[in-house]
Amino acid sequence: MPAVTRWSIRTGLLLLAVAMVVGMLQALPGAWNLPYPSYLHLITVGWLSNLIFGVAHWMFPRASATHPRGDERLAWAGWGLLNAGLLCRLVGESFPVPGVLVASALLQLLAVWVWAMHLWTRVKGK
Amino acid sequence: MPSLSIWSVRAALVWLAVGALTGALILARVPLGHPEWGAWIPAHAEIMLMGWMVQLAFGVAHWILPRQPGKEGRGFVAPVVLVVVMLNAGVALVVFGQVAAGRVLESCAAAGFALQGLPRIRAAGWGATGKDGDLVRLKKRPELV
Repeated sequence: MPAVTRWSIRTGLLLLAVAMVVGMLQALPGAWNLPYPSYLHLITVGWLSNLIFGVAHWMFPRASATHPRGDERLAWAGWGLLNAGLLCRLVGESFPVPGVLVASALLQLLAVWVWAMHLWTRVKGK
Repeated sequence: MPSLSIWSVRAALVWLAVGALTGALILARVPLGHPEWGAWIPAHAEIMLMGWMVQLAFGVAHWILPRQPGKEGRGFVAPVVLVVVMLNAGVALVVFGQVAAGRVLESCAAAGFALQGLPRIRAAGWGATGKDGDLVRLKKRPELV
């Protein structure tokens, strides 16, 4: 399993655990908590997307004989941008910090496009 | 990866790119001065759930589930082509406001996929990803037969 896959899955598991705590706190009336969209995106972006991208990078057909997993720098960039973007979202939806939601939107958009571009080269036959 | 999975996963990646763009615009709608973009949330959810995740699962499952013995392999191609076409048309219809028609097509796609995939859910025979990025025949193990 390549390093970027290991880090994607580890990050995904950590964010899944955070999401579960947030979900439980939402059942307690009056407790401070993240807003519902943050909870939803902790699961869909933090857990599912990290897991999907990590496993796809590991399991999809080889890009070439010399670079079987394509340009790994793109995968690392996608992982970093995605999680930085999610972190900005959690901050921006809880505190009125100017510009942080726009930064989150840009980081996540870039992350997804980088991942999609990287995986596109691996979606092929033998 | 068979060509049908290639098309399905590529279509999923296109929906992902579109869904991420709508999501980014929705997230930044208030700072950008367009709170009305919040109306796109259902379309964003539809694109990400059905266009991206469900379609990716269909494409990868068609590739990686154990193949039928003999010449049948991954089953008839035409019904699975129809599944992919119906799913994408369904997502597009829902996104453009034809929710009932879109959901009917998505349901037909899901039912078609399940019917086509059910015979391939079994223990023995083919499995795992091989060296060349495709399926390999597993060694026969008595406990799997």
